[in-house]
Amino acid sequence: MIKLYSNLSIVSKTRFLIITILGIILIISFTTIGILQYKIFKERLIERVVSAAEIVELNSIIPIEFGNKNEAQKILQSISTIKEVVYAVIYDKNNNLFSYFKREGALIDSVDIDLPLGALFRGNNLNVSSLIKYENEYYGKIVVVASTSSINESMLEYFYYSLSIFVFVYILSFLIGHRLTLLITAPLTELAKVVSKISNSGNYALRVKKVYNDEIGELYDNFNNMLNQIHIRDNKLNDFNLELENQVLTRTKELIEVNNILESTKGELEIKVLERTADLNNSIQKLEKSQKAMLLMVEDLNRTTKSLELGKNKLNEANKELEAFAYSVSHDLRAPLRGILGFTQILIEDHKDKLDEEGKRICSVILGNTERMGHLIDDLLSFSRLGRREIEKTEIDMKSMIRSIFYEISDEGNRNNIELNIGEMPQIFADSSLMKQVLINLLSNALKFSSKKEIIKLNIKYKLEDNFQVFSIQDNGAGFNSKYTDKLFGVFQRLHNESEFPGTGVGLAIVQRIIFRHGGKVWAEGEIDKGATFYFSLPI
Amino acid sequence: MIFRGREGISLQRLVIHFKWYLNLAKLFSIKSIYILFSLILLSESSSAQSVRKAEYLLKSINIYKICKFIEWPESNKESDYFVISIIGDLPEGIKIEIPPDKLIAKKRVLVKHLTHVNQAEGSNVLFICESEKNNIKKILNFTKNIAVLTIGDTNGFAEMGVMINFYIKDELVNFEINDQAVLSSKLEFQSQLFKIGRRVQTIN
Repeated sequence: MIKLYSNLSIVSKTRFLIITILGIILIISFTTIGILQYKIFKERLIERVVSAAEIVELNSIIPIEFGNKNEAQKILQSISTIKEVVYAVIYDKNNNLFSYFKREGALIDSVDIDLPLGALFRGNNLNVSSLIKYENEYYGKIVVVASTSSINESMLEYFYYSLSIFVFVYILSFLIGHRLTLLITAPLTELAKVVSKISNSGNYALRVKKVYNDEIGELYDNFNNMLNQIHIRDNKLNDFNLELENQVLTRTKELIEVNNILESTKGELEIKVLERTADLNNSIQKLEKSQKAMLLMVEDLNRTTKSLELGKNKLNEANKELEAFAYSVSHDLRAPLRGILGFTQILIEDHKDKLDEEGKRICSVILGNTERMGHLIDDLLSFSRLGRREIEKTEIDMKSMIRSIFYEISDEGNRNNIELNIGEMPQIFADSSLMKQVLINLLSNALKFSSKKEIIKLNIKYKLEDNFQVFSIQDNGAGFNSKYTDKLFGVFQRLHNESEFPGTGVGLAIVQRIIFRHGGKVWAEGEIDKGATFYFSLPI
Repeated sequence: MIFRGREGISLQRLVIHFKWYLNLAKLFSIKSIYILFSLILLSESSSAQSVRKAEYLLKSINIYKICKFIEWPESNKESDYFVISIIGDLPEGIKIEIPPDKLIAKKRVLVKHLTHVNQAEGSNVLFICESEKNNIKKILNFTKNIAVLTIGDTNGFAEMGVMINFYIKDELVNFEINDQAVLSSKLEFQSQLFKIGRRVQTIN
């Protein structure tokens, strides 16, 4: 319905609106009036019948009292003037039928005497029942029955009447509405025509003629204004378009020029690119060659490394053999040495009276050299043993170890001349007997080379450096020439005369070897007559 | 039922009379009268006297009924009794009486006999007997100045100016009304009474 309505033209919509509203109003009004009318008809009927019954009632008292039925009949007859009444009865005070009236053709024959008093609609009839009384004395009862068909007839009449008015009003409103609708819709139709003309032709110079001064007139003005604005904008747009076209043309020319330039540059560039490409190719070839050379070199290096490893292995084997040889030599040298020592002692003890002073002196020289020889062999043995021995690491308190060694190796008589300073010492994790050997060698060296000083100063210090525990032992002894620092730790290397400072020249070599085997380093600093400092480090 | 100058009554009529008496008793609704009638019927059924008694009983009832539908003027209400006066001589052994429990205009009824019309003042009803036929003009002359209802039961009385006059027709007691006399009196009759009674004009 609404969809259908939305597709209608404005004229039809307005007409439809008027007709619908009018129809609703008319139907509601006629229905309301009809209901009221029906009520009024009923009330009027009741009024008429009741008043008739009252008259009959009043007039029938005396006829009842005097038993005059004829008179009562006459009175009842008078009720026939009310055309709706179809039946009327008078009962006497003993409720016996006294007189009755029946309209011709009426279907009713009797009434219920016990009907309630007053007016009552029952079926198609109105029953009015009333007591006949005079000065509080009861004389009888009257019942009047009226047909309601007259109401129905009146209502039907009313319906036809309403229908004719309805139709008449509808036709009238349709005609007037048509005219009125045109008043509203005609300007709109005109506007629609102009709009469609403009949209078809694109001619924005067209205008609508204003007729009314209402909202549509305003709409016309606004529409014309809008057309003006569109017209102006159109002109502006055209100008702008022309300008743009000119600009495009100039730009196109410029572009063509630039394009030409670019094309010529492009040729040059291509040539340059070709040259560069050739250069690059050359470089690549050269590079490839050098790469090959590099590969060859790496191969050579690998070969050299392998041969070096082979050499190293051979060296290690040779070293081991040398150590075995040194051990066996030292061991084997002991037996003849023990012979020399033994026989020289026998010679001194048993044959001293047979020897002169020179002989005795030579014997003691032999004995001294033999002793030195024994020391030398012992040192060599222990040195060579070092290569074979397994290292067993334990926790060592450095301070107490240094102290006990110092008391072991120093003479009681000289101890007062020695100033021993031991700094803060840590716990170390190393082979206990080997570390003892290291400390004995270094401390006895320090005491030995300082023995010519009146007061010997020994400083033993510790510091942590790059994950290494570094220990230093400083003395104020003879020192050494720093040029020979490298030779200090070689076997049988001595920087001083043996007569000056006795020794085998193996001690420091042993120290170096032990420290190496612990993964550490040994080095020394010193100057002649200004003392020396020996360092050794152990990894944490 | 009753015809003047005719004596005796047939058996058939007696039965009709019996029914009539019963209806009458019902109309009056007085047990005593009903019983009285029955006694009369049983003991004196064939007597002319009993018929006459019944006739006057009916006349008494009619007087009572007519009086009910009359508007009585204020002056009559001063008295304690509603007075019915009888002038002249009633037939022998006959009385006009209203049962003591019946009220008219809310008053008890008193029946008295007059010897002279001058005594009628203060009465509501004046019953003129047939014996006063020759004095009628004199009586009416007197009563036209007072509010009294004049009643007779003699043929020609109404025409003479008596307001109500009883007569017998079809064996029933009926009455005639002199309109003129009623309208010129100080009494107001219910209009229906005129329809019930036979209307009569004064003849001079």
